[in-house]
Amino acid sequence: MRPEFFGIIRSPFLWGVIVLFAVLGQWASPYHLGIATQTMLYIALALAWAIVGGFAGQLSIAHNVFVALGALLASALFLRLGINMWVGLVLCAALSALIGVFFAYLDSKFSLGHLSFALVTLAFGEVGMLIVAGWDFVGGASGLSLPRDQGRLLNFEFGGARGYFWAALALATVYLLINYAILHSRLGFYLRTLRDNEAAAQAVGVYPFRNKAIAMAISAAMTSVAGTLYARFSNFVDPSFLASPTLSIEIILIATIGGLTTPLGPAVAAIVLVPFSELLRGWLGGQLPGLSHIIYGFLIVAVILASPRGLVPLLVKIFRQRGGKDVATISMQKGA
Amino acid sequence: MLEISGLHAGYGAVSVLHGVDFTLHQGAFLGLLGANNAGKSTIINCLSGVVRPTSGHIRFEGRELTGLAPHKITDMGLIQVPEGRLIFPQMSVLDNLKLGGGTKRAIAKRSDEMERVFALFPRLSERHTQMAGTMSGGEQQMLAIGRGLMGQPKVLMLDEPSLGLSPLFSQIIFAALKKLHEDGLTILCVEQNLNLTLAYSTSGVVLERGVIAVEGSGPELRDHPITRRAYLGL
Amino acid sequence: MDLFLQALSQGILVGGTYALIALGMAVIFSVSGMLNFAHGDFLLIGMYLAYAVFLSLNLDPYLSVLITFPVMCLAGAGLYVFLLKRLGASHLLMAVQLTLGLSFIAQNTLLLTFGGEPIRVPSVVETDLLLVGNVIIRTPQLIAFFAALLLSAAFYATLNFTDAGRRVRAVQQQPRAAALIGINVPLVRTLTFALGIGVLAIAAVLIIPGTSMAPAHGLRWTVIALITVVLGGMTNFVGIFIGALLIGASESLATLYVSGTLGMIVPYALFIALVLFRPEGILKRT
Repeated sequence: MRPEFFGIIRSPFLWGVIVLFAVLGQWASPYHLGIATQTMLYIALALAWAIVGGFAGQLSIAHNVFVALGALLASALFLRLGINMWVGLVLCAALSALIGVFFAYLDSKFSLGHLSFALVTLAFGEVGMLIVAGWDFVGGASGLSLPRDQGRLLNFEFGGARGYFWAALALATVYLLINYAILHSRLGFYLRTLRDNEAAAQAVGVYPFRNKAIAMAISAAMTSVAGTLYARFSNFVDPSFLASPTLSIEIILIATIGGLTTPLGPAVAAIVLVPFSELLRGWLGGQLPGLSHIIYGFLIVAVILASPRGLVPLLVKIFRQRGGKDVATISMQKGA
Repeated sequence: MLEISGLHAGYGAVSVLHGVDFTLHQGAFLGLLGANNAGKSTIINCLSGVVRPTSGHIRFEGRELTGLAPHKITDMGLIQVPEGRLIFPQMSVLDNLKLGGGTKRAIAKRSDEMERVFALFPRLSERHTQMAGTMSGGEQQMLAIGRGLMGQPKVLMLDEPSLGLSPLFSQIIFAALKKLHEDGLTILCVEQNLNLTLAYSTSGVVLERGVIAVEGSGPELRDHPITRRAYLGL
Repeated sequence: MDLFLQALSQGILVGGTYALIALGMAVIFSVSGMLNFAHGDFLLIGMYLAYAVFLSLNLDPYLSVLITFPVMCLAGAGLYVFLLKRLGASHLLMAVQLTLGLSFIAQNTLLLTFGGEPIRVPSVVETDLLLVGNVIIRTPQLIAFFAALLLSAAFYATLNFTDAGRRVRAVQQQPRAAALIGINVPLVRTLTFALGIGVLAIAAVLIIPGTSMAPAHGLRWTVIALITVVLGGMTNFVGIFIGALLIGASESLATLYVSGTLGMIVPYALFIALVLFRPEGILKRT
């Protein structure tokens, strides 16, 4: 672990923002808390994806499989077999990590290359969706409904909108720290070397499979855990949303719009985009469905053409030119 | 015929050429010589429009070439046979040649030109149905030159034609170039192989770290101290 | 046995159209190295355009292709000139992200314009049937298959036996040398994109009779095209045609013998198995 990491976890700016969010939660209405919770969960999903998609440069379109496992399988285990959701959460995260390692194994065994990896994972993403839709145990195409939350933490119940918001905020914070830790660790360094030139990295003794497998396992497990919390938060577990490759694409777009060279990229992009699209949906009240996704689409096109490394690195650059220095600047120094 | 003046070029932040001037006269067979990384290929790629010069002028028959797209320059009759041959591997010899003669200038006389290429390199005629990628290096070089000739060049530019070839094949290639030159073709040949090039060309230019170090006729250059310095890095 | 033949013939007929869609994707990949992850959404744009033409001019889909084909060609050319050309060859993954973004734009614009409910467009031949032995063949599928076969053959011949086709292959195999022998590489790429997307307009009207369309179907069509292209060996156009028939047949047989949605997994399983064990495609010799 490099000193930069400790610089970040001691950053008063970062903790200030997090504490501010937590305190604001005290007064927000349930409607706004719901949006905020969803935002935090998207931050968690985008950060989890970025470990593979950003650091390792592997465009996984199969992350909906891990969300589905965490959300649907953990709920099904609870509803059908009475398995405590905390246990389910761990089981599903472990299973996701295993599947992630399997993807990494495929990648290295068949030296898939970045483009084929995207292809194969998209196929897995579709397969995941189809399996969920055809498997009655996890609710098939119609989904599952969890019983009413009674606020028992031991049963993975967080009691109301505020509880879920705090839980999601804590999860997003932990994921942000994990991302920083990986970014500034030897693993993060190896992943970037592999991303930029796998042959050269191998020549200096970086093992592709081992490092990518670890990254994939961590990313998959984190995604699954966020999925479990999403399921409990939303009560009704909707497979057409949580198991669909469209969710993978949404995560990819959010993370890429923000920028993948720093953990702040996916986090900031989600903080801006998710509330925006939720509030938009609220204002339009069911009119103009899909408008927010159109905006995501245009944003990604604009970002890729104008600032391919994402919006946050661009903002940091502008900020730095004006002489400012904050947590973003620190994080950028080794981020590339 | 081809005038280069004050040519500067580079890749990103690295500048390779620092003001190159020379003139290629009609009917010349000029060797552009120098060690690795001297900037020889960069010059030829500037001439072809593949690399955009940062400053300087290239005039071909009085017309400014800088800024033109590669295919336009080729269509004007300034044709490059690239380093590493770059033939189309999954196409037959015949298709490779046809493609070379596909420009507006050349297409009308494509079959005549093909006869001449086959006369110059009978080996290509024997193998005209073979997939180009399955041929030997020397044969591929013949094909690359033949493909360039199909465009009916006024100036043929070659980038390291002897690279990776056996001495025997190198001799065959240069003998063919000499024959083309005797038939009136203007040739600019980038080469690292000093003796081979000077044995066949009429004059030479030696490039050293992005500038012209010395120019002159073959025998003059061969024993010139600067040539030796440029090559041996002394 | 009759059921088997029925399913097999239906699958093969459907596979013909898959081939057309996949060929469009493959030819774009071959000259640019880019995979268009919005390909299926462009197909749906083609279908909805035909629907819009039907609504406004009451034109049969088979005729509306005269209008939709040029429009889709322009869309393809624009996709390259305004977007993908600017990325350069070193950013193939960005092309994936960019086309995923386009897929979102296309899918949701269709949703906004036409709504999410599945739509059917009537056609003159929609309900016509043909009986061969005990096998029932739907006329539109027969038309689609032969049109696709004819177009694929024309495509193959153009690519291999004409100057224009040789230029495309030259750009595919060695773009640098192609420029040096006087080929206008950006123009060839633009025209290839135009045709690769334009052909989707034709595929669209071949699919329309008897098939419903909904904005959300785009991704599935993209995946079908992708797996067909990979099966065929990326740029091997004969392989892609055969791969498409294989996908069509396996899909059709799987729904017959494997129950429910799980049957839909069979083509993907086939694809994943093939990527793993024959990454070079079904036809290429090792």
